Amino acid sequence: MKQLIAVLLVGCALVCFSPVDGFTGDTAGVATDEALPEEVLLDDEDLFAEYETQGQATQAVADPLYYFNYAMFSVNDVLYFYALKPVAQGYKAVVPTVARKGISNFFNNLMFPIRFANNILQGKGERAANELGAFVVNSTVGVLGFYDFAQRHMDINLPDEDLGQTLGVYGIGDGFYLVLPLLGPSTLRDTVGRLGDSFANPITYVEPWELAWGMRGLDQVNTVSFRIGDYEALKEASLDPYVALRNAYIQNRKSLIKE
Amino acid sequence: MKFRVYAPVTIAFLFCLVILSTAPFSAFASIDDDARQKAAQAETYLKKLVDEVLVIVRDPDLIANPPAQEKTLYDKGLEIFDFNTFSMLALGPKYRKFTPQQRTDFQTYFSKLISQTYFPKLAGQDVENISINYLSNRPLKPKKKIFRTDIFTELVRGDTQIPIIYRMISRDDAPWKIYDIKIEGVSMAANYREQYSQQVSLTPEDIITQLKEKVE
Repeated sequence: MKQLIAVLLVGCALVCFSPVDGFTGDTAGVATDEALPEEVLLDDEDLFAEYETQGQATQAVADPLYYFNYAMFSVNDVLYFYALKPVAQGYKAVVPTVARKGISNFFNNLMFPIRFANNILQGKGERAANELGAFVVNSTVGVLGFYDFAQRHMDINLPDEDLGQTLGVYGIGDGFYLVLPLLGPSTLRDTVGRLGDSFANPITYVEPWELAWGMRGLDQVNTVSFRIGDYEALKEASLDPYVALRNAYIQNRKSLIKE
Repeated sequence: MKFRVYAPVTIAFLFCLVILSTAPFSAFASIDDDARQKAAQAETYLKKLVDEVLVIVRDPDLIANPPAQEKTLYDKGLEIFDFNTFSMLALGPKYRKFTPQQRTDFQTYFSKLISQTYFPKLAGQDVENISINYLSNRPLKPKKKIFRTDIFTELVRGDTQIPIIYRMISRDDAPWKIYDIKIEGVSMAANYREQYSQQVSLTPEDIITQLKEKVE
């Protein structure tokens, strides 16, 4: 079993390290068009060219599993509108905001080991220290993390960190785009990261398994209850929701890795 | 012997390194005080615009009359956004295939799409709990008479903070306008650009028709 995991990880690493350009499949960055009609103002043209070369255009990610991904995207879309959203709406109607916020704080505090470990792995000493301090304070003064005392009264904020970001900081590329059932957009690198993070996630060690899954479900529904409407807006405003979501995921991850 | 062969190479290499390492600084230095001053003005101006939008969104008379609110927000949107540049960056290389008339048409429907999908969302929030922190601004290197600046803000909605970067432009000393918004690191213009880049076979006419149908 261990050997199998090792082989898988090495395989993934090889794919991730290989130059992304060779993998582009059916997607491509916004290619620069050489033909310039005369009527375009020179100033605009300058601006435009710069915008294209600033790395803004190279957000594209390889998508060799397009058909699988598209199928998963459709499944997740249906699940969202017919299961997750109604449940989250009902939950939101019944559970007061204070309680939902408390639950969100609780899970955020519980995920401390993941952020802490990844801050260490990225050499972010101050952030790691903040994490540790906030964890101690929130778990005690904040009653098991339900109250985010450190964030409110000590002016500490705890940016999201995960292994996918750490691998990104190490220079490992996205590999390719991957839509996970239930979990949504990801990439090969971020999926490997998620797997690694699960070892630092306390919920992984919760027994019995029914309780662990219940906690995951609650976390998910609770999180969505704060974000109802975001996915709908993205979908409504887009011409191709699949591409819009893929691009948004990749852009968001890039900015998280950069900070 | 070996040293003699490698020394010039090494020196050339070090020389290149020095050039490369100073290059960013020279680019940085060329953002002059004028650009910095203008960027600060842009931030002040953005604050004013955002406050005006919040006034519209919070106006009880307009809340009671959604079509009027939508109209007011749309007009305000035209004043705030540079939809010319926005649509240029949203279309990407395809923009060059558009005739001037098609560009205008695209701009009209694109501005409607943006205002239809995002303004009601803004209006639907519990607007009393919205506030905006202005964190910093970063002027970009001016190009001829085009000044640009990124303004880093944080939208506070209840207990959640959403980082938003407003990218603003001023051509020939015209008032500043927003040409792109980055929400949680996601540039709207770049997002549309990738969508359009995927639709390889669409002609400008197709794109305009598609957009028109979506808006109506």
